[in-house]
Amino acid sequence: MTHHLTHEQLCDVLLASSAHIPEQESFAVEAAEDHLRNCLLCSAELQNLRASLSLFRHATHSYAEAVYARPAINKASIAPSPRTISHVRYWAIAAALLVIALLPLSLRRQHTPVAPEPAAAAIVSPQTTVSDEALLEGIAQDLSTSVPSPMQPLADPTAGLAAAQYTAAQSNSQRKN
Amino acid sequence: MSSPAITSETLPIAPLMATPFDDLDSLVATYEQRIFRFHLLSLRDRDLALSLTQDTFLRAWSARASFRGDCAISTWLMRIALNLIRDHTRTDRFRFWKRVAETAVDVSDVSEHIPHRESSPEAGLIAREQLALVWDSVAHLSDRQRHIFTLRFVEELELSEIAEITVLPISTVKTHLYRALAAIRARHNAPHKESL
Repeated sequence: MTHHLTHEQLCDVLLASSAHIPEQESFAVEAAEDHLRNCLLCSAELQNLRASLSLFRHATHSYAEAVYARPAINKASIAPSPRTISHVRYWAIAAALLVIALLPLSLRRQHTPVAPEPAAAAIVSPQTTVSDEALLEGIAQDLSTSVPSPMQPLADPTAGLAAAQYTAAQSNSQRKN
Repeated sequence: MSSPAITSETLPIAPLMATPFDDLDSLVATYEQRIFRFHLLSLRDRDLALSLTQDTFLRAWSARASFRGDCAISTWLMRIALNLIRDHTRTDRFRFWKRVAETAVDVSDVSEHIPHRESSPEAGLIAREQLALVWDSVAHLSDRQRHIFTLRFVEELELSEIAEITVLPISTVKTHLYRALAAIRARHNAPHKESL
């Protein structure tokens, strides 16, 4: 039965290519490399993985370089970038959604039979006129009286006392006479 | 008795230490491409990568006083870049923009840059397929795995450097790389299994 490299062993070989690894780990890597010399399956898989990673690295390096090497005008363009255009589109969509969301509310508000406040203010009913006149009359009456009716007994609190004293003095003088 | 006027000539001159920020132009020229590439592969959006590359240098310049030279300037810049990516991708807004972005990088854009060592059309096709496979596998990795994978297999950084940038122990960095490679291997082996 052939024992192939575990995933960790294969990764260690892949990572050990340039990394500084501790001595104890380097023994394990050496043992794995020994195995790779004899095992076609493991070595093929490692080679395949290395090739893919190398391809990925080269392609991404080259692509990034090409993108970055574009004329400087592209980097510091005054014109709105496609991203800015996307922003505008985003806000337009957001505004449209807001309008759509608010439209049913406003329609519902229009259809509900709400008492027409401005009309009520404009049209003055005769009953209201009468009640207003009565109110004004009442106020005028209240103002015309010098002392309010509830305060009437308190208008001259000493009036009764003075009268009593006067009658008492009179009766005394009659008695003396 | 009048006190002497304080002028720049009378002030004690502090010993000036040379920092990498003394020559900002050369600093940017040296590292901008690498920072941009890292942003581009992490975010897969050209405009966003450009914008965050500028932000990286801006933030580095603002925080230059905090750079004490404990690590390499490239490591420090990469850490700033990584933090910016994390800040940016944390929000749902980013996910929305990623869907509608017109500047998103597609594998077909990248596959045009495959080195033309493969002469036969068949070999070219296989190379494109391999690239698409890795590209797609990397896209499905977690953010952290993708960052670590990019730092190791695209930027070819040492594990210790990656640990410094990500502020993670080397063992954790290795674990993330194992998982990332497991995902790629699984995709690699899937066509073989299907054909068997």
